[in-house]
Amino acid sequence: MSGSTRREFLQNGMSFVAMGIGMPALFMEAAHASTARSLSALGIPAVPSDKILVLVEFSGGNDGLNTVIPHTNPAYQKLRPKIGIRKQDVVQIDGNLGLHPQMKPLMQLYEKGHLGVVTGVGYPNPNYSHFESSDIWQLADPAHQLKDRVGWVARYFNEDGHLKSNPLSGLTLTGNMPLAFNAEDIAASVYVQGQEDPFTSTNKDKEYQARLAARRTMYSQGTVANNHLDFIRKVGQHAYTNTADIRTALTNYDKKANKAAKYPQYNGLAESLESVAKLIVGGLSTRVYYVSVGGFDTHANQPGQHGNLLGGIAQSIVAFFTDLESQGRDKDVVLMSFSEFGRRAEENDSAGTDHGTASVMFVAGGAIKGGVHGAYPSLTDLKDGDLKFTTDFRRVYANILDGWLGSNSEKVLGAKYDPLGLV
Amino acid sequence: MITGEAARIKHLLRRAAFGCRSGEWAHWASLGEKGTLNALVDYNSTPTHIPDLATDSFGGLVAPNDTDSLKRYWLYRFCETPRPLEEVMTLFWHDHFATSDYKVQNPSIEYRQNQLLRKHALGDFREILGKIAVDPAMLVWLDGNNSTKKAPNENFSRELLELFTMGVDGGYTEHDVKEGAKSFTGWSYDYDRYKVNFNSKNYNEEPKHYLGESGNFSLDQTLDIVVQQPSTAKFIAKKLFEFFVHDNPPAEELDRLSEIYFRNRYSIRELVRGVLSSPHFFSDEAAFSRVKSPVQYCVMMVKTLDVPYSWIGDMQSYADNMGQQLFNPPNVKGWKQGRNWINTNTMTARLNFAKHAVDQLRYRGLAKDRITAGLAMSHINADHSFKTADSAIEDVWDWLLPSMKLEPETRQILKDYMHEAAPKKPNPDYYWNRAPGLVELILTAPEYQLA
Repeated sequence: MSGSTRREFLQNGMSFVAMGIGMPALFMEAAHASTARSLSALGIPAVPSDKILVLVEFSGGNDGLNTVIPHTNPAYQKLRPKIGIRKQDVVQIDGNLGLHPQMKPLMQLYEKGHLGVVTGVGYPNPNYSHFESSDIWQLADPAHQLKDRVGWVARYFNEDGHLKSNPLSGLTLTGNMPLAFNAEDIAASVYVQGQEDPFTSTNKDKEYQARLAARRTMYSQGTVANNHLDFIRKVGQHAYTNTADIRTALTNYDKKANKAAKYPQYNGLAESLESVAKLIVGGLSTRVYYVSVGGFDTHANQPGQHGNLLGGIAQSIVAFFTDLESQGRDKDVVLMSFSEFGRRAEENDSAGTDHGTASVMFVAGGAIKGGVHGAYPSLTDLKDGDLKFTTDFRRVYANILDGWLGSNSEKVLGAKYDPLGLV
Repeated sequence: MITGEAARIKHLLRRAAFGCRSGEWAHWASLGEKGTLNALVDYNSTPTHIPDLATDSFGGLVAPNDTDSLKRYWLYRFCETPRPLEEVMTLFWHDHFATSDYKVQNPSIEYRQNQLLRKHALGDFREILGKIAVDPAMLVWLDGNNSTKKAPNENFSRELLELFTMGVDGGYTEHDVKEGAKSFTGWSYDYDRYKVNFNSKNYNEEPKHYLGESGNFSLDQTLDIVVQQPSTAKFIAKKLFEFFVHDNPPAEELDRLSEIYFRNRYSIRELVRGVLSSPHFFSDEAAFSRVKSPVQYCVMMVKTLDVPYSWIGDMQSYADNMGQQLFNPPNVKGWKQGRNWINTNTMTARLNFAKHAVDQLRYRGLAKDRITAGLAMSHINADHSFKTADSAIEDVWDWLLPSMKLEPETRQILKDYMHEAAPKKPNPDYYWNRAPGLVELILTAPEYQLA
């Protein structure tokens, strides 16, 4: 809806009429009253909440070779004499592959058929820069063909009128907007807990309320110009409307229900996923959540660090799905992990690994067809010491877009990719 | 174009000094535009009373083993230093050679790096490179600490070229990265003895082919080659231009600045002087084109309101929530600037900080005092201003946002606020009662996010 129409509504003493699709109506409602109600109560069709995607970024370049280990391949131990995982320690998933021992908790999901493990994932002409390669995954653009920097998830949102105009279609808990969500009109928000609300208050002081009303109005002025000021106004407005929506979702969540989940303590991913579970169960309209785990750039002393990371991740993911399952929502959620690249096949002299190429992706959920997907890369037919990828990551994206989110992957990704059979 | 000397000086102070306190204004105004620029850049001649971390204590501000205290200390420096450009450039280098606590985990060497960057903030770029290559925090951060003759660690060599000097399109190859790595071997940081060591037994003496040259280059010779590259000059010039002016440096401007870099033997002082006196500095494209970084936003607010740092408390946690954790940038590429600072979460933090800052004046009944001093900068009598809502709004807007257009809709919103509880004939006392709210509303306006 154009900025001028918004202003008209405000000037008419905030009289409230049921709006057309795609307007952040909560802004109007909350501007007038102090309580917010869900979109459906206002007679506006809500975004269908039964197909949710949770993206988990493994930041730094995850060593796929030590995550999903080809333990029967003699080349493996030759490449990794110091940091290789011993055959007796791997958690077997099929005759040839096993998970890193600290990922044992994931077997709970694997055995139920709810964990897909995609191996050999990469893209042509690999890039070894964290930032360039990360951009490639966030834009789904290995060939650098896109001139604008619109993220792949934003392009998915753009295909749907509901999603495109809801500032909560995407929600990141990382504090920074990921490039995957980037678009001229960002349909995504950032959520970090614990801040005071600068737009509303229960404090009845008249001057204070007048000040807050003035601020809300300043941020409701829209223009069609796409300059910094307009962008800042829009984001401020979203900050305001999001608070109401998130508050509602959190009030709906039943605290007693997640006791069985056993999220690991003092773990950032666990805290993020627990918040995501609360928001999902509480009915927030978000379609794609984004969380991140760092620390994967293991150039030195890899075994301890990598093991601890994988352990925390495995426990957190399992707790997340246990939480969702206890509240009947595990079939509505798919979680997908990704990393900007893998590591070199041979270990280096610092008991670590340098930037490499192909790695693994985990895809978990109650509706997932579990098991190993994609072919494991050869450990002997290397290119300059790096693994040759077997599965283009866009096949995984396409599978999720078509099979899970009900979108059109050819439109979003710019080409057709063979489905993988994950969902 | 920003026109009028006062407006131009204020623009320069916003960019190069993160604002100024009302009491300082007369000094800058008397120096004029050129005098202000040179005084800012030639800060070595300005005496400074800011104590060094190691030799002074601030009742909790200083504690080398605590990253929180480090952040507090640096923000204190920002708010109180008589050499603002020194801190601004230290921040620029901290972002450029981004080294993060989440991996280094050693506040005392992180602070040591901070001191290094401050000492050479407007120094010789070649010298900065030489010092940073063997800085303890950098050795830990980019694994120079683990780089041996047999398997040189590529991390520092790669980021040196990609991020610190030539830039990703600067014309180097993967091969250069590998060859360069050999030159940075042999160094280590001894945590127990607080010492940086060089062990020649661990140094890779193989001949190198690096950036088109061949030889058995030492670390120093390797850096000599890098610093001479035309793409290094362009990359650093571009970064400084984008930091101080706007996002689209014209090609001829980068050529001009590169020439300054070479003519002055890599002097960052002369390069910065060249950037700040750029013909584009006061252009329409430059005016209010920067989204304030969190540190810039907080420091400018505090100086504008002339609030002592000690009244604020927890400035560092606001800056953290706004997305800029000092001593802990998100990765080696530093912080993403511009619109990346603005999301629903960081906007909330910014607006809350503005209220927090104004509250410090409210609690002490000092709003009228500060506004009076602010308006006096433009020789305006505040009591005269506050006779009507219109003049109060215009004059306070002009103090807080000089050269920024006051949109009619915004003016009306502010007027409605000023009149909300007004009696039939409001007297100036009534308008003065609304003054803190007026200041807060302008400081939380979308326009105030820009510099």
